[in-house]
Amino acid sequence: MNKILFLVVVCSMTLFGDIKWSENYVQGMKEASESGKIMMVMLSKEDCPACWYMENVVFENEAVMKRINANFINVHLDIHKDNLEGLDFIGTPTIYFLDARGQKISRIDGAANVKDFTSALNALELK
Amino acid sequence: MKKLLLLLLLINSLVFGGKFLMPDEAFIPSASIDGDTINLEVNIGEDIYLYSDKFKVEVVDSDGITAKNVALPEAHDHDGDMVYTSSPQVAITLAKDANVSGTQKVNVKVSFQGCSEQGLCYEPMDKTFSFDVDTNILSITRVEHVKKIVSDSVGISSVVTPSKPLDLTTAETNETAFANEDISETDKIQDLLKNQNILLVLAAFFGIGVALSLTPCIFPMIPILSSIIASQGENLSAKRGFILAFVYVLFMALAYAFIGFFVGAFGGNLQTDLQNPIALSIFALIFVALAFSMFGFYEIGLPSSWQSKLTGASDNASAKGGFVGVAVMGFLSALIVGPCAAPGLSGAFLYIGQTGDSALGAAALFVMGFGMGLPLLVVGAGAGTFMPKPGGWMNKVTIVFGVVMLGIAIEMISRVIPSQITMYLWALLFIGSAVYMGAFEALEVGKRSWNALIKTVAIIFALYGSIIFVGGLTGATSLSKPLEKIISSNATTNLTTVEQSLSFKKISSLAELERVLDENKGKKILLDFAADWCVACKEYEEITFKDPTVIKKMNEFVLLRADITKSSPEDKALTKKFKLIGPPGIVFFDENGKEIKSKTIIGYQAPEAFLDHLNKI
Repeated sequence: MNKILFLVVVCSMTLFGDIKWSENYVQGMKEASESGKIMMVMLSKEDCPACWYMENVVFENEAVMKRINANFINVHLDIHKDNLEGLDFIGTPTIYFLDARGQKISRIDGAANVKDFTSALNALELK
Repeated sequence: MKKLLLLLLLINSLVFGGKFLMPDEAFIPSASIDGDTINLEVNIGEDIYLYSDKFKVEVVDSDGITAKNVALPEAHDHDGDMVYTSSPQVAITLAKDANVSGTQKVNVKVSFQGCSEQGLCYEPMDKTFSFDVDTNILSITRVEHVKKIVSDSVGISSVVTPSKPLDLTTAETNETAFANEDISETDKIQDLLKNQNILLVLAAFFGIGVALSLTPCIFPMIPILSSIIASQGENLSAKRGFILAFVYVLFMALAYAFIGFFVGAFGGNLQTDLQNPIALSIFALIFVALAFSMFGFYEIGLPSSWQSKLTGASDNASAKGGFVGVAVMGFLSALIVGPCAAPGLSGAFLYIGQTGDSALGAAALFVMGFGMGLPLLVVGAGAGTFMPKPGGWMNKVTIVFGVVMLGIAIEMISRVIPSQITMYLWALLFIGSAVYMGAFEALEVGKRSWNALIKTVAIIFALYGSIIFVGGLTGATSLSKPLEKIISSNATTNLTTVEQSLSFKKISSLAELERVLDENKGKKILLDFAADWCVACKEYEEITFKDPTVIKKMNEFVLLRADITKSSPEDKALTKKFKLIGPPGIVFFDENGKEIKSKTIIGYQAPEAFLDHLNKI
């Protein structure tokens, strides 16, 4: 039952679009330097309920999604599969905000709900 | 997707960076030793939980020291995952191999992985603790080493390393799942016995015993018991016959109870140990001694001082050592007949070995022994009632049983001596019996009827004995086909009878097996466990593996053989891997090199049954 519910939720969510992810870190860097936007790098792994929550609940929130797609170049890294470019973490998910040169602006450890993630974005834009 | 529900809760409990515990704060493993037990705890921080399937405790890199028992705490359901939400505590009871002594370093490794309720998942970690253990206080185990993983014996392994640790749990879980949908005979017995209360377990074991008693396995006991009852002589009432049978069965059951106790306590490879060359030789000698006492050369009994003590203690005239003899025979026959009932006993031993519960093991095998003895009780009661009056003929019966016992002795010793010599021993027995029966003496005039019959049988014995002797000289090894070498050398011109042969590739270690399995992907594989001392393996060799139809079918498989005569650690690792108690055992693998658990054969199968089994694979 939960599975069906989940599928329905996910399907209806996808109707409203999706996060735009850059192909890889290098590509993201390139896009960031071209556009002057901030890079949002998400570190996650399989078998991580908190990552799943971030990707499927928070990022699927329409307001959050719109804002991320409009203001950031988004890169997704799997800590077991991808080169992490020197980004460290204490666990997953970890979200980094980097400038176009790859310098760290801020970092969020762990999952955040829509409200808190939004205020994190607000804080970032005030900088 | 229950995870969704869990995660929605996160909305109420968001924390930002910096508030999460660092991995070395979230998980604080510690361990201490107390006698032969290592107490280990992973102290977890607030809102932290551990996945129970990622939680592993093992003894690593500790030569000859193993974890006899690892008591893991119970996990509980956490939105679809089995987890520990409070610090798990584990008690690891250590055991050692027989050759280990003195103080030795023992490394215990704990691996774990978990998340914070507040939305952060940590990487897998492990930590290894070292202790100097006085091995003299450890119990001795025959259980094989727990699967070893190379440990990096540094503190908590690096958090950033994007490497996934070798995960053994997954493989094991798959195996279990597989077994559940498709269960072999041994598994069925085990499954029946798991998670049942004690009464049910005991009832099940009694049932297994009765079932085993209906196999030909129990038959060797009937002549042994009858001979004992017969030898009680004049005052044999049905009651006394029954009581004797009861004592016999009681002690047989007690022998099983002993076995159950030790299997429960030590687990391990029982049949191998009971059938090692020394034990077999000793039992064979005992049987020879008993046989000769039956021939009247001497009388076997307890020392007279013991006898008088016993008699005095019981103050019972009927306890003149007869009961003691019956008891001893009952005890011994359990040990001897035991291995022949391979599938049932394997299941029982496996179960008990796994529970590690020696009291339950003893009780369960005790009732099983009684189940097995049920027909003997009937024989005992009947023997007194229906047997004709004792007389001179009884001496002859006793002698016949003496011969049977010699036969049993040869059968036992045949597992450890060259088959050629076995043939000569059989020839000796048959010819000797024939001579004794008067094969070469003239019949007395006027007493033809019975004696003629006996002489006929005697001559047949003499002939058969001679043929076996000749067969032995020509290199034959089978009692049923003593002339096979002569016949087959004559028949080589006949194309239709040219025998196809089976060639087994020898496997001597798990590593080698894995390599061979890998090389033979795409083919079905048969792995035969055999040992020189295993009599049922010889039956496979002589009967089943000689059947042309079976040979034809078997050649569709890649044939492997593990010769575990020596019971080396590698051998034991192999039998342990496939949960075999001892040979014979045949394990099958599918085209992907995966064990087909349900098809494992334990014990002997005749050609028809074996062929049937092969056809189903």
